[in-house]
Amino acid sequence: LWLADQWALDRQRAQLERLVGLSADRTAETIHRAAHDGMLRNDAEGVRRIIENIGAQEGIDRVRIYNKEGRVRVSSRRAEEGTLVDKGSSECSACHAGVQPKAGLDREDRIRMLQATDGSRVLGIITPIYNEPACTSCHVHPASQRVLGVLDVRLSMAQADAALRASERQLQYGLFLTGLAVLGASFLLLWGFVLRPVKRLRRALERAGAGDLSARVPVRSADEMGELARSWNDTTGELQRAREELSLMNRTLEERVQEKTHQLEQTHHRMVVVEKMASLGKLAAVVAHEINNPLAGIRTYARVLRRQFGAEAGAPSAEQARETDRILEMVDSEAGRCGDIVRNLLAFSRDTGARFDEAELAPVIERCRLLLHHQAEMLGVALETRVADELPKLVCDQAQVQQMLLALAMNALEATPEGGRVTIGARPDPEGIALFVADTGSGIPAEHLDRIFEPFFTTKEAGKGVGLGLAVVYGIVNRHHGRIDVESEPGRGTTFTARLPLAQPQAESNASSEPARRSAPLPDATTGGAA
Amino acid sequence: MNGEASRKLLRILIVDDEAIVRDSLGAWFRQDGHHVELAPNAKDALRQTAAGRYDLAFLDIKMPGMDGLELQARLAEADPELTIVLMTAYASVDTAVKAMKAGAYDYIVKPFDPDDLSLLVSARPRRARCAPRTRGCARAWRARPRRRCCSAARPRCGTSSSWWRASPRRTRRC
Repeated sequence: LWLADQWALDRQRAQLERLVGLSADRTAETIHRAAHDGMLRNDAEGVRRIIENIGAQEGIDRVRIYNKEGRVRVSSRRAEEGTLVDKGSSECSACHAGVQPKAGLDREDRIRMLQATDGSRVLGIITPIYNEPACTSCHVHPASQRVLGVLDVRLSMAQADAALRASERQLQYGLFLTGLAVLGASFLLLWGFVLRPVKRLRRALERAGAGDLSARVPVRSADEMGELARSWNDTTGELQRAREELSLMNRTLEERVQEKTHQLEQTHHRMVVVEKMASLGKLAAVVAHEINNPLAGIRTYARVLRRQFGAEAGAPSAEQARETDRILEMVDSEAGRCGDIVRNLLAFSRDTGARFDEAELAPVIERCRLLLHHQAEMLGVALETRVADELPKLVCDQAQVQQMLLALAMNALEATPEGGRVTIGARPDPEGIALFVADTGSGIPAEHLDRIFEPFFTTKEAGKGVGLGLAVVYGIVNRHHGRIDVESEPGRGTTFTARLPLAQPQAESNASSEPARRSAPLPDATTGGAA
Repeated sequence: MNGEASRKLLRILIVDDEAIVRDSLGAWFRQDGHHVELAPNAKDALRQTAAGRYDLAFLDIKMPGMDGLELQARLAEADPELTIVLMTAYASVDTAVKAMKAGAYDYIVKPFDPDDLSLLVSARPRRARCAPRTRGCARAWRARPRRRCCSAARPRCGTSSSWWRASPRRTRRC
């Protein structure tokens, strides 16, 4: 637009200059003709008047005539009359540029543009005054002289330039307004067809990005933007459907995981109970031995005393009284021993419903020793306990910890030959408390070490064990968020070390009783043990 | 022990690691007038039988070190005429059968009725039955028909010896 504008302006300027040139030519011709008669008559005053009158007209800068030598003969500005015009000046250069002055000139050659002292432009046109027959008849001009002088007319370009400037300004305004209009129209078009749909699309994209796939972009046109919106809608629709399906599947999966977890908990609980029953079965022989021995003694002594005092009605002698006292003391202590054994057995068999409480470990370990010491004695194995002094209390399910220790110790006793040693103990550990059962038995072959905690893995002959002992031990340690390590050297012995943290996570101690309550159809361990 | 009493009074050895069983049985049989010696384990029992003869021995099966069954074999080897009664606190048919096959006179389960033991002692086979004290006699004794329970020890079948009821062969014979 700016270039077109400039081109138009240039054309206009050229046109205007041509018109002004034409007008100058006419004016010069008019002056020439008007002054012709005066010049013929050599009426210098008349010619001057004509020139002054014309030169006084608005738009005419000056009019002057100078002779062949360049001396100004007549001028609208009287002051310069008689002065000599330099032939090198712009007025003269048209003819006198070369060595020989030109005789005839085109109009374009005669016209020149000058700069006035005030900065405005002035258009000058020179018209040669040729020697005519009329001139030679009365004048002194020789016939050979072709050009007698020059009429120099200068027109001010001020008005034309002003018009040109106004025109330029108008064009610039026009240009500015047109530009503005084009810009506005372009923006409106861009807004309507591109920006607004893109903005809607972007908003929909943002909502989709934030997770809201229900956002749809209105389809308002059949063009590319419309096509884009439609395909976007289709895509989000597909995505939404896929996501709904996925979340449905997720929910189903979660439910199934929960269900399986629950089943697993129940199975674990059952496994713990089954293992306990198996342990109880093994313990029964030991316990029967432990109880029946004192009972046999007590019964026999009771009969001894009855026979003694029933037959001999007389007062017992001092020696008899002492003997009786000794017997009764023995009976008393043995009856107490029976009570202890039964109490320990019950404490072990009772299903406490998986309760986590703060507990001292020394009594738990002592109970294990009491339950097993007779068996150890029978097997000729030394059973020792080693509990560190100032052992901190442990938040645990006491019954399960005892079951764990008992299972490990029973295994250890079975694996230890006569003369060996089994140690049950506890010591502080960086992770909490380390409970350990060590034996000097046959050890576990390296190829079995990886599998000993698997359920139903057993190396015992059929009917001697179900292979749940260590699996249950592992489960119990796991439930206490601890870990169990086993070090074994065949022929040298085995040490199981369960490291349990002192405290359980809050959620566990609160929720721990839940699975136990839910698993209703479990055999009652207490009555099962008694039966 | 004089000749008159020798028919009635016996030398009895009681081997049990449990002091109360050992002592109470000792007191009981002493009240009956028998001569009783006690041993807390198999080793002492073997030493005592080597030092002197006994008519009757009560052996506990479960003992640390050498158990009652092994001791029974060693005692029978040393003195084939010794009457051996095995005692156990935990009955199992297996051990009972093993004991009887090895020639035990009886097998009793704790806690027992002491009167049954007295009956058992008084009804024990007479040594006179095997006049020639030979190994052959001992073998014949071991292979004798088992009908004792139907006479003196009969009441035990229904009372303390539950293992007896558990053995169909015994029940049939009774």
